[in-house]
Amino acid sequence: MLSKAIDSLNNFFKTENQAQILASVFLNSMGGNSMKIRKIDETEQKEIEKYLMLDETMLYSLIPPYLPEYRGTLFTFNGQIEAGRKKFRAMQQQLYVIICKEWELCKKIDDDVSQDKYNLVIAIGDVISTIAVGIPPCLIASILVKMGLREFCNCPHKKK
Amino acid sequence: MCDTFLGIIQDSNHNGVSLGIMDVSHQIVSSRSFLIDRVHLDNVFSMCNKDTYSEDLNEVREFLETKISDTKTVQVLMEIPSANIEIDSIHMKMLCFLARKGYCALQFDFDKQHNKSRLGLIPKEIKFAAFGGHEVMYLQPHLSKAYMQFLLGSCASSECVAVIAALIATDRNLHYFLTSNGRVQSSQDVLEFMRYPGELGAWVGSGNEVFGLSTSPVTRFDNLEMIPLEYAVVAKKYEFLGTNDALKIALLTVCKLWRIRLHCISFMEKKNEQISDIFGVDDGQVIYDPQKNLGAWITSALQRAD
Repeated sequence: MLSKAIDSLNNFFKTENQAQILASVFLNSMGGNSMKIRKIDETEQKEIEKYLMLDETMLYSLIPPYLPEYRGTLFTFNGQIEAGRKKFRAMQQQLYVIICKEWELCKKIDDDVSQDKYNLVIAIGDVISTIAVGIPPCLIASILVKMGLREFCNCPHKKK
Repeated sequence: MCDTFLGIIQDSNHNGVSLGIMDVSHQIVSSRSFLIDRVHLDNVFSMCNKDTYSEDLNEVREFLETKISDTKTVQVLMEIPSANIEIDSIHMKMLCFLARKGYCALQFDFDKQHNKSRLGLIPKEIKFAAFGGHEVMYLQPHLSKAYMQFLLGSCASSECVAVIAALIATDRNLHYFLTSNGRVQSSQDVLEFMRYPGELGAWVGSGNEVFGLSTSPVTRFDNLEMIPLEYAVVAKKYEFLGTNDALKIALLTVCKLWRIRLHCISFMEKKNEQISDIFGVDDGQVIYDPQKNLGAWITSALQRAD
């Protein structure tokens, strides 16, 4: 079903990747409790692997280089982290609405697919791509995964 | 003037030392590991005053005497856990032995009550009364290994790491860089430098050092947006060194990947006492140059030692 959606959308987008992202978001929003993970290329795969090697603090340091307001700005290492953390916090409310309310993460969090952090980053990255303007969505998604999505959305813990 | 450099690290099993010797004038590299026993406190004092050695040190003595002809031309670099080391430690035993044999000069104060000796710089007025040779260069543990991984991409034997310690001793500015208490450029600083070469991010002063970036004919300007991620991954990998030192290895790594020249100037050098001395950078202050490789004689020696 995902590949059919991508085929039909390919005619309207410049790159296959854009079509894939939108198809994935559409089907995930319709799919209820199950999560669909799109295929990614090797470059994106390596990038996500590197994001997941880092802790939350280091991931914040990656945000300022993408922000136009910090062009021409020099930072100390700690200053760079704080600037990234500040930007993330400014986005937090929007992220909560999109991921927790609209996308209903709590209904998907116990999916087998979402037990893999890598898949979670891809799926969340696609969902938030409209608000992570200028910042790689997978970077923001990685921060959320490191923070703990269940805690972020206040999902009930899985019954044993 | 030194032409022989002796690097000493605690070996990976922590029950001995590995020695690496670089004889620059003859282009010879030697390395070997030795089991060294901890020494009783009283024996430390007698070692400083008499020429009597335990069997383990006799093996070291024989090795050094066959590889080094003139003790006065040797520069020793040793990795030590801190400036306060245990009196009966392997480190103290080696330092006393090397000083007694004339390979280095050193000063230390004993604190018998706490079983510690504090290593220090020799005051000028008593320098010529010391045993002879040059003052020891010290380095934090594991930095030689981290620098080796940066240079060669793989972690090899303790003997190889000891040779890298000797290599660090050949470059005083590199040693200042690795031992600096200062904070090097952040990844944003490197990125801005690469976006606007010669305008931003090139020079950062911190601690007693100034760290500088410059472009070279082979510098890459593609994929600049990946600089922060590569920097962060390496900093994370080496976080066990402490933040300052982890960032140094991260900076070296991005300089290598994007072929950027890295400089270090220290105010610890007498000639750099004035602010104006730090401008007009010369090649002697380059600690990483993407256009220069390790000499073939060093590379082949490291492969043999591995």
